[in-house]
Amino acid sequence: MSMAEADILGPAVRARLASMGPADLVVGIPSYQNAKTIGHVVRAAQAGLAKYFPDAHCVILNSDGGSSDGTAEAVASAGGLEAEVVLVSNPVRPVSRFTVPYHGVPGKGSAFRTVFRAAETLGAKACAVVDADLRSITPEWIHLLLAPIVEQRADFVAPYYHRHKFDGTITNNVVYPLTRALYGRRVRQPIGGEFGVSRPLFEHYLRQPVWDTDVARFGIDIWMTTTAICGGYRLCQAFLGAKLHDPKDPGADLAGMLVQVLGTVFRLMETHEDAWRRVQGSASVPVVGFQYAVGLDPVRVDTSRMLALFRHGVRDLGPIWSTVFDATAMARLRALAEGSDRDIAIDDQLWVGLIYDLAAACHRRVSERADLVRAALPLYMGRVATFVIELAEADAPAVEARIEELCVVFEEQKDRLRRTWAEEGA
Amino acid sequence: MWQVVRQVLDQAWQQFAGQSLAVLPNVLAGLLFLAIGLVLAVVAGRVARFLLRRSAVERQANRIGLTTWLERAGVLSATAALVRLVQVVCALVASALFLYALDAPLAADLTKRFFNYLPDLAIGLVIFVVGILASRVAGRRTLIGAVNRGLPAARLLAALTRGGIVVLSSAVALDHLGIGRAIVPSALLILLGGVTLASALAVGLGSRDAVSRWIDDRLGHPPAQEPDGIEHW
Repeated sequence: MSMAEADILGPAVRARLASMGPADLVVGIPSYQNAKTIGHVVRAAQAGLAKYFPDAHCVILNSDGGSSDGTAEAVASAGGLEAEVVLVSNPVRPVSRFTVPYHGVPGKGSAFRTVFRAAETLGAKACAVVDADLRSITPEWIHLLLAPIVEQRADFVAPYYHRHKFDGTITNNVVYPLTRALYGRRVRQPIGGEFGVSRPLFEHYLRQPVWDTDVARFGIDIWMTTTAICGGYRLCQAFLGAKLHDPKDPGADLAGMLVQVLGTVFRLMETHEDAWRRVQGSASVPVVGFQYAVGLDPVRVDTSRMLALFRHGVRDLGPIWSTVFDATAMARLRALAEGSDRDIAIDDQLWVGLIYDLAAACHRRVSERADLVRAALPLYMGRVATFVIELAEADAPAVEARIEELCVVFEEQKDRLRRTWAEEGA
Repeated sequence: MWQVVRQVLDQAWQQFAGQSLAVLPNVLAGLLFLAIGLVLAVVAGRVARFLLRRSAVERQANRIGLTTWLERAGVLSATAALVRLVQVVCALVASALFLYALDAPLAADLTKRFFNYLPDLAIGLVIFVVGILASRVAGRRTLIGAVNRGLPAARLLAALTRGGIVVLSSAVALDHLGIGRAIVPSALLILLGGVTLASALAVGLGSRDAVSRWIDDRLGHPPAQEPDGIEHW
């Protein structure tokens, strides 16, 4: 361990951790300006630990990025009422909880690193991480994320949610099918935000030389999932019901977020090229937890604006796209843009080809990776519009079946990726 | 009368012929140098291309990202750039020898001035090339950003960005070379005008919806559609 690594926690936090003695389980909550919701998350975690792991010494650690809205105070003042209610007739072992300001590169990855380092210092055998803006978290989430690890059935527990059919479009249309086709494991929510991690795995994470890179700022979710898969760790998914959280900023830069997620996926393809080249097809990952249908609020979608952006992209970004996509794909995109809104359909074959060509173009550095991914936003919006229009009347199982069809196309066309990657990267 | 004219013409011709015959060997030698230089440039270019293709230059250029930069500047490959450099050096040497053959003192003076000027020329060239590359990157990013924000004048904004940077870098490069000292302030004024125009267009087009909503509110029209409720992940 280098000096820089040793100082991540700082002497005060180390002293506090030392005073707690060893812990069995750690729940980490990375936060930034989450005063409104973090109290509920802490109470749910506390109740979950007390109810399902009554004999374990547990610690809840809030890794905060310098919030000024009273997040730390909300953590400190979150009462243990639920734990007492849940455990009326059982002895309650107190759960330690405290806030640690994380150091290093600002971002969720640095917060995770602090949680993992604290868990390692405490000698914990399992660690769960949950978002601080969750509204739908229950004590059962903690059980579902930690139990497979405590029972030594898994090293990495990914979340499995029910979401509205039009939510998670980047997960459904790109990240899940692409990750599955590349690495051969069907992790349905690879960028979910909640995870359970075993001690060997979080020690493995801490050893990776990524904590001063972009992974520390963003992309930690897909990095953790991919690293767990490629490292050969045992995987599992926990059914958590619905995921509801604080509304995101509607003015948030979608292109920037696309760059964060897709840019990280493409970068990981470079790191794990040997691994994904060998993989053919995919295998399921077990799901724990009782699955039930979830009622979800309707989502408002305006496909005409998405299609207008798609057309705008075809009209003005053609010269940039031409450096990425072949003439056939460009001709098809132009033909689609000339049709009416009802005629525009970026089908699975075209979409998968575009994503694979984009990945190969990023690999051969046709241009800056971020620029290429940003330039793909109109294509993504065209695909989302296609998805929404096609599945307007479909129910949740039909949507899931449709996503499965897309995944199969990603797997079938993987040879194309191998070929273009090799040709163009040479 | 006619006799006098004839004498003048004879003298003029003799002087011309004498002087021409005196410099003719120099001219012929100079032309010979030029011809040999051009042939050498062609041969050296082919040899350089042959050797570079067998070496790892292109792969190394790819690895360090030089190829991408050259492509952005309109040069096909690192090999092509190096071959052209070899040819230009051959041509320059041949031209210098041509001048020496014609008039050694003049050529020596020109060569000295050229070498004195060379550092400034190189720096000016670097400023210009960096400006061109920066204009391409900035133009592309402006275009992508403007399209993603749905601005109808995306291409105009990108062109203005590109043009502004090219004008500015050219002006700075020329100023460094001592050409047109008054150009820099003028270029900056042009650039400022361009930026102002681009900003006005961007703000005007970008806030079109806001203005429209404001007018609708004032006139009692129903409010415009709210943003989508989709969560992309």
